Amino acid sequence: MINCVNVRKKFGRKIVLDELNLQIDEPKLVGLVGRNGVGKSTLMSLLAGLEKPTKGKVEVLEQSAFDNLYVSVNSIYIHPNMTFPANLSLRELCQMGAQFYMHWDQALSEKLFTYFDIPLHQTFQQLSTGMKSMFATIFGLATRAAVTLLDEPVNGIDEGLRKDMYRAILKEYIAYPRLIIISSHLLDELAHLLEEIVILHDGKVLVHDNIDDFASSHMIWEGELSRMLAAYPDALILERSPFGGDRVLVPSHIAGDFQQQAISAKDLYLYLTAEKKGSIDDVFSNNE
Amino acid sequence: MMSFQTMSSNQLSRFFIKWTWRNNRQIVLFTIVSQLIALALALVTEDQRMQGFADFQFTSIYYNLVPLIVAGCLSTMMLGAALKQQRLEPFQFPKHVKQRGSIVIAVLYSAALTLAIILTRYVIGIYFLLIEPEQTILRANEQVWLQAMLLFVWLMMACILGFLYAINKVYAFLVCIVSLVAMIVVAQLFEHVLYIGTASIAVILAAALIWMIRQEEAV
Repeated sequence: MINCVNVRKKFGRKIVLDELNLQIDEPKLVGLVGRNGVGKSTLMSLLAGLEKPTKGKVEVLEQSAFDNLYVSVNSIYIHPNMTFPANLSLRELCQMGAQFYMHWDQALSEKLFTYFDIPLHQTFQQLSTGMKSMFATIFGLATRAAVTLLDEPVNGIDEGLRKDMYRAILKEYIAYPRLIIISSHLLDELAHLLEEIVILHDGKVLVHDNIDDFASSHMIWEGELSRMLAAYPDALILERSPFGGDRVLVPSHIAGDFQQQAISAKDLYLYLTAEKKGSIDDVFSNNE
Repeated sequence: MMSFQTMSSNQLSRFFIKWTWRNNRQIVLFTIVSQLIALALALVTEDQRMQGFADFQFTSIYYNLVPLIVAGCLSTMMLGAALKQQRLEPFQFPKHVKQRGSIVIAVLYSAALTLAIILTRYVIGIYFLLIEPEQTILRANEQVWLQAMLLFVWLMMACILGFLYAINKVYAFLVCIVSLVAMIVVAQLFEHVLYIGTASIAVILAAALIWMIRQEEAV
């Protein structure tokens, strides 16, 4: 359904994505995660056909994505800076959505708008931040587009309604399977929805795996650091304690006689993408 | 219902134009209100001519039309800025459809406004012919089409200025200053300042617009 081959994207002199390869062939719920500025939104823009890759190939539904009407009407990209036509009411936007997207589900949109109390007589600009996110996400689901790209879909939504929104996404996906890619920093909240995870790091795909396999691919050892490093020299040091009980991250298949702990997908992602620049405490200790 | 993905380029353009109009309804309202205000100003000025301007002849209709033209240029400039800024997200039309649709809208709007202002001129003329026939020298001259063309070009230039303003405000002001300087130079060198000045400013604006759009695309 999507195929990115050796994709590079530059903005001015800044290279955001470089030699990126990603292929997803069937409907799935995929989480796209990465640290700030790593290129998640850029990748989604490329997939939505809004941007042209500087180098490489971006194909969606077996067609080149950029400036392609077929891709436009079969995909939707919802993002936090989305504006929607500023002077039209939400009801008018839905009417336009029904015309533009072949599989638009009017009944679903109406039920969800009613449930989330979204005032359809207002314009998009008149909504609060959370309401904007809810409207945009519901709009994205109602399109039933074959490729649905949701960038921070719960941005600004309160915690109670976020759960409802996740549930709406899941139920809609189960009822009408399609490729839904969700980009979010709230991986712990999202993890139970996802089938696959894609981690971007340094402009490339660092991990593309089944989310359960990803979480179980590593484990934490707790014990004496020198012994753990002797057992596995490439272990990632997570925590050093003056009282013993140091913690390191190792691949699950490595055997070792240490206390072992499972690790969540979110923590593993954070450790794997951590920048080696010390801790925030170092900033303050320099001032003292 | 026909699907968007099977529509021809012309059908898509029609949809783009229709949705753009729906999204920019306030410009139509602004145009009507500003033209009515300018018209009222023209009539009030004309009404006062015997008190304040004893020798003011009906030829002043040309000058009274200036507020209408200025208001029209402001409206077209707003339209240009709105067209440039408009993204119609999440409905992604192909680039050539957006470009063609925007040009069609700008041309149709400018043409309709030109026609409205030219007609207004004659309505004002007829009005004064009816109330003060002895003082009125109706100057409906034979060059009406030339005037209409000139007005149309000015409205289109205002639209381009709106485009420039939406891309970069500082550059838009700089281009305005360059255009003014060009106008002064033309006035010093040529007899037909209005025609040659209009042509030179149109060239400056079009060149600036092309350059800025290329700069934008290069980013």
